[in-house]
Amino acid sequence: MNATTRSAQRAPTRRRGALVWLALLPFGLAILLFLLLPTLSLVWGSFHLRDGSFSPANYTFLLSPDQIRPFQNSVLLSASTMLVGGICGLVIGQALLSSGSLLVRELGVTFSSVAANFAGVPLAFAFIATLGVAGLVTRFLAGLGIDLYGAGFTLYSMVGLATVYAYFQLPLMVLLILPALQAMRREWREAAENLGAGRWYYLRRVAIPILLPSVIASMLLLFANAFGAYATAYALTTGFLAIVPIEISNVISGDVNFDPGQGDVLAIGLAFIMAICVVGQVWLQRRTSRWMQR
Amino acid sequence: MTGSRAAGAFWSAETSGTARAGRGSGRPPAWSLAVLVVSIVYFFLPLLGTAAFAFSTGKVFTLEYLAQGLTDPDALGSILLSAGFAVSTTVVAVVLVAPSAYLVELRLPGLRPVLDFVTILPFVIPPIILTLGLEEVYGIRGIFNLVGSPVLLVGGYFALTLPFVYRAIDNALRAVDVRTLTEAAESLGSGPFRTFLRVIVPSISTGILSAALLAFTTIMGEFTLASLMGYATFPVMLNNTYASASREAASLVLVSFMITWLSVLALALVARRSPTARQVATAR
Repeated sequence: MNATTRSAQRAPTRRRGALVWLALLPFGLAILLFLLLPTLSLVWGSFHLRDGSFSPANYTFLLSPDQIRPFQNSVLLSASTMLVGGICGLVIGQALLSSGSLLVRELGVTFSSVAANFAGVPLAFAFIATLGVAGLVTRFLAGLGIDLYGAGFTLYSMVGLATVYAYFQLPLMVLLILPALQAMRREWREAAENLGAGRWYYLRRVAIPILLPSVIASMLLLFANAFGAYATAYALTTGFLAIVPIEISNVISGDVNFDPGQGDVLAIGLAFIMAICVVGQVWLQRRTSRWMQR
Repeated sequence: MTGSRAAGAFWSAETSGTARAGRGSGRPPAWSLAVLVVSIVYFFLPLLGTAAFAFSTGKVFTLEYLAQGLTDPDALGSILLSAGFAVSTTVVAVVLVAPSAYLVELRLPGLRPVLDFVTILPFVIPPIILTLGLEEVYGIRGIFNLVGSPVLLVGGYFALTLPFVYRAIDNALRAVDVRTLTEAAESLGSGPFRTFLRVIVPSISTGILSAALLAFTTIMGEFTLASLMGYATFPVMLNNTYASASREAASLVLVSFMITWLSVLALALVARRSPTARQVATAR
């Protein structure tokens, strides 16, 4: 009697459990079809040769001089815009807080959101109209006797591309670092001052150690953000700059110089660097979250 | 593309910081004013450059190019195509994610780490890699041939927007007590569908709204997948127009900037109703 009641109770629960899994099916299927399967295909392809045999040989392709260069370029581009965007974003973030005005801060956050989202083709063209050969700033500087392009600058180069990337990297840093800056308690500074710490000593022994993990975490995201970016670079240079995303797009558009496996290896190389950044960011963010409480 | 996780923490931190902000030492320091003035100039310079190019023939101010750009059938068609993809993906994403996130929260909390991993994966697989993978599986030489089918692009966009959509909805779900709400509804005789649609959805509506806005904005500006799969969406059309009609294209750049503004403002408005819903999307 007792046992039958229990099993009678369990049956609907089990049926309900099956229904829950059934309800999750479309979501899981969509993820499988459009996210996991493509990813697995890249991993599989990177380990197989054209004839279908298993081999890690494709990976030696990454070490060929032709393929090291795009990675070097991408690292240089990401690292430089990470540093410039990171440091300027940090300073602007602090300036927004130091202004002491809620309105200024809200405006700063709004402007930053807009600028961080204003990327890709429109951004590339906005910069051509501004810093291109006949751009507004180029002509203005020429009027002052400064010949940008004569001095060797061109928007259609790595330096030019880095200049454009800075436009979305910098505001992204502002958005990412503001919470950490806001979590800095005034009391910590007062306590340090009461104990005789000067401004520099407070920065060195209190502010920097607390902020550093957040700053590094945010900068890792900036690095990944630049490393995977394709649209802006393509629109600006129509695909002749040798950076990793552009190389991969050449594989997709059917460049015969590439084996499919070699394209996969490029993609895995790019994903690997992105993964380091994301894992590092998540780990650091978890460590710092205790400062952000309350 | 990145940042939603950190930004989520940010927005909740902001509300608690509001009270503290007013308590500055009277006058803001000179260095911060200088920094902010320079930043504002930096922010507006590319827009000024674009406007100067779009609205003048060298000396004379004109709206001719804007009018031409806006009335061009190709431009209109591309904006509509982008909007079509944006709306359909947004609907698909919300319909797939919202009930699933609710069920996982309620019945299968053990699945949460799996979902956390899967929804962070698109950060590791940026659009350019996703396109390559999709081409391999569904392209000409793929296992299933979906070449030319809009399903492929919508599917890719679903993957692309998954982190934002899931995060926004999941944050909203965590902010309400899903378990108690569900039990209360069920004890009053409501079935699971009714509970979800009439109790849960209204209580996470701001989360759903901001998820939808984030997905919509991301797709309106998406270039990589569309261009490599051969769809003339708005950014793709813009890129093709620039060579031949650059002043018209410049005026459309300003239109695209306005779209970005509007979506950011819309998101801020939604967020004002619920601080947990505030998120930042950056579409590359």
